[in-house]
Amino acid sequence: MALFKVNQLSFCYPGEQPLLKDISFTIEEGDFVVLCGPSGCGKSTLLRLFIQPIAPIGELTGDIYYKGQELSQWESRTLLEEIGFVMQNPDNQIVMDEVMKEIVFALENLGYSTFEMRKRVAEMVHFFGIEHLLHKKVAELSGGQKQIINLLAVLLLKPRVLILDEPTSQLDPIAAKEFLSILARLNEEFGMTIIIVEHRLEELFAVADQILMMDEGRIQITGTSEMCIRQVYEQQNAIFKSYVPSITKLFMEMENDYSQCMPLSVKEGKRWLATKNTSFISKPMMKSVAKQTEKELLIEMNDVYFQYEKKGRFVLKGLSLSVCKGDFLAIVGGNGCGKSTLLKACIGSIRPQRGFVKLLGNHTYKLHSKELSQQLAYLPQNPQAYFAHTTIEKEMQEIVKRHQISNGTERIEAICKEFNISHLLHRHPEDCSGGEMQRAALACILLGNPQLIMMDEPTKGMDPIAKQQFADLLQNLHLRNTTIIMVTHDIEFTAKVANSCMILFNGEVAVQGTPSEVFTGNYFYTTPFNRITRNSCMPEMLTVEEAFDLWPAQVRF
Amino acid sequence: MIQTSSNRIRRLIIIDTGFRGLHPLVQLIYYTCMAILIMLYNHPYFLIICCFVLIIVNIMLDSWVKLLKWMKSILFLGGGIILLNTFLVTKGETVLWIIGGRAIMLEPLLFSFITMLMLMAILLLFVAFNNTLNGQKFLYIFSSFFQRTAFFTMLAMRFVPLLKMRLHEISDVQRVKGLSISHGSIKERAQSGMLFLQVLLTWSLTDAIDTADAMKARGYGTGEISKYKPYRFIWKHEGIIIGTIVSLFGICIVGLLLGYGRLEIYPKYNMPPLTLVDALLLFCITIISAFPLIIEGREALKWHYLK
Repeated sequence: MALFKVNQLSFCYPGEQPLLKDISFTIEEGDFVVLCGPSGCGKSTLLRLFIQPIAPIGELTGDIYYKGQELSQWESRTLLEEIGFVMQNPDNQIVMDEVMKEIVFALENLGYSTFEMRKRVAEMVHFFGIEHLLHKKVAELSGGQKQIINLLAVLLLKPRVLILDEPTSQLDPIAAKEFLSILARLNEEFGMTIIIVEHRLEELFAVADQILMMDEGRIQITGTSEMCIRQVYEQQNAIFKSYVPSITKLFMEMENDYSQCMPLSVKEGKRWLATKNTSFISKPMMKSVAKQTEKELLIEMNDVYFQYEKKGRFVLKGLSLSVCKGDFLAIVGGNGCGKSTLLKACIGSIRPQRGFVKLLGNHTYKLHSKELSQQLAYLPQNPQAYFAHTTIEKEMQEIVKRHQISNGTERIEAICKEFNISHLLHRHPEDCSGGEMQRAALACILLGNPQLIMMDEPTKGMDPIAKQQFADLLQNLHLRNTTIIMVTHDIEFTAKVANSCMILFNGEVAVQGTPSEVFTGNYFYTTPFNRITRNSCMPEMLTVEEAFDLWPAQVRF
Repeated sequence: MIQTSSNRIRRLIIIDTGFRGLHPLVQLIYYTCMAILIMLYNHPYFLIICCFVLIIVNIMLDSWVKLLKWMKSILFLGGGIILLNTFLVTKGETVLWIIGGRAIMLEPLLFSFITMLMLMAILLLFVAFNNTLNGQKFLYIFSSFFQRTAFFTMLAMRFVPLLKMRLHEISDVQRVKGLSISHGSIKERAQSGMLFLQVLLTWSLTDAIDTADAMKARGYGTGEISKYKPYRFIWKHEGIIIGTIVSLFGICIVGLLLGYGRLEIYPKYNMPPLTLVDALLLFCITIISAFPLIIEGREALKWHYLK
């Protein structure tokens, strides 16, 4: 018997266009189901319809069956225990201030005895190996740890189904990987059914039993990973193509013999490449670095030391850095290596204890905010912090006024078109989805024509299509000689757009160079595609686009 | 295997050794009894003994570094009280010296000395209290009586660091946008300050919707609530200790009601000789105040002979 059976489900929020249209699918017990689609297509709404206590309110037609009985017929307590839910933002889900209190919160609400709580916690905490976190304050944990705590808190109810709404979108790649591998383990070892909405699918295609591809409120393509990818290529569906893992992309584009096993993971990719026993002409690097001409020095950091607390550790340790006009610098590094602090030093919101940070020869922390706003723009990790007015339009008009832009209305129109946000102008920023808000904030920033842009994790939570558009946009800006500094975890994105990269480690610059210099040959700080091409017949590459260029004509099958 | 899993369960219970390992209720009772006794007994003998024992308690509970920091200010304050009181107050009948035509009386001197002792004892107790009964434990006891209030306190404690972090981020971002609370005219600063708060409020409220959903999805408000008990309460152990402290405390209070343990200073000081009852009360107080020492000592002996 199917665990979930959705039958001709349609849903619309009151007073709006129907969001979900005629959705039908079944989920078997023990399946790992991945739901994907561009942001705003109704994935989250669909997921929330499964969770009775927080189901969105609106007009619903069609049925959802759980174990053969309609969802609303079940007793609420059974559903609470059997269907667990983890959301996107790790911070927002945590209620208590201490880890231990947080994880027993659900058990307390359902009236379990202390004996039962202890038993369950002891077992699960051991499984996750997080004994050392139990008595910590939540505020001391990293994003990845918080998300694991959220998962644990749900798992203590011993659910049969785990529903997750973009759980890794706010995490760095290593934490995201760890989280996903825990999910795979739960599915594999306990047979737990998992339904997950995700944008980062490189790893998930290999573990998923069923993929649901959604767009415009409908399930467009469904089936196993392989079936789905084949259908995507038959339909030449540009949206879903961007979700396909890079190695599979290469396989689908270049291989004629589709009867072969489709490579979905790094391991299978390597195996497939090994069968292609051809030699590649190793072209010299096309992106040769232009001769270092005398360029204007924008930001100069010299021997900067910084610590947040007296007697605390140094977050920045003897950091030196210079950014010239027209550079596109990407800064990567693990959690807590000082990336965000570096940006803060650049915008002058912290004052280094030793050394200096100068912007065009002036100490940044001394700059008045008016002068600062003329020279640079900053896109924070959370775009919520950016908007100060009730609609995006008002925000833009305010910027036009402040920067004394002469043809303001036309500029606003043009930039809205470019970013595809014209329909959002009259909305409150908080009413937009995360990706939309990010785009709107970026549009606002660019309105002032800044010469220097700093961004903190700009691609967090973006779907692949939006990311591609964003990459094009940044490259355009770069061509127009805008200087960009970006802190990011997204190595694939960096490899595509940046012309200079830096790995920060322990408050110092570990290496700096072009993306290919910095990322090839690494285990962690590299793209999955690079892992596949390492030690293969192909030269080492970072992105599949490079491979398309290099793939020699005579080996096209 | 059974051994390891029981160890794991032990870990879930917060276990410190000695006095700090006792159930927070025991600690709370100890500190309340002591505070009451210190405030009621004003006989210098009693206070001196209390101070002396509490200093050792502080050393045993590793809080003497904190104590030294406080000690300076308390001695300064105490010295001030003694000087001011003796030189300004002329009540009393026993003249000690006459300095510059001004009589220095014994009674105000004694009174201020007792006040200083009392302050010191309370401070000593407070420092030890801080070191054993931290916020978590206190809240735990509190929540047994006021469940809802305690729950909201916990929610608030979670949100304070979150709001602080957000406000920092907002002011960083808005500073680059040209709004700042550190530059410009007062009106401009006030305006941008209000704007920051407004942004913070909108941001936090929207995110709080998520929190509310997460709470509902985990069954908040569905019915009977149980409470996780992170501390063990064993009647044979904790119960006996509480019983002893409370009965000794009872004896001391009865003694007080019968008029022992208090020193009449005004209008005329006279020190009555120590009676047998006084000695008994002194003994009770010493035992109560030394309770942490007794427990720590017992623990140390146990460890010693276990080896």
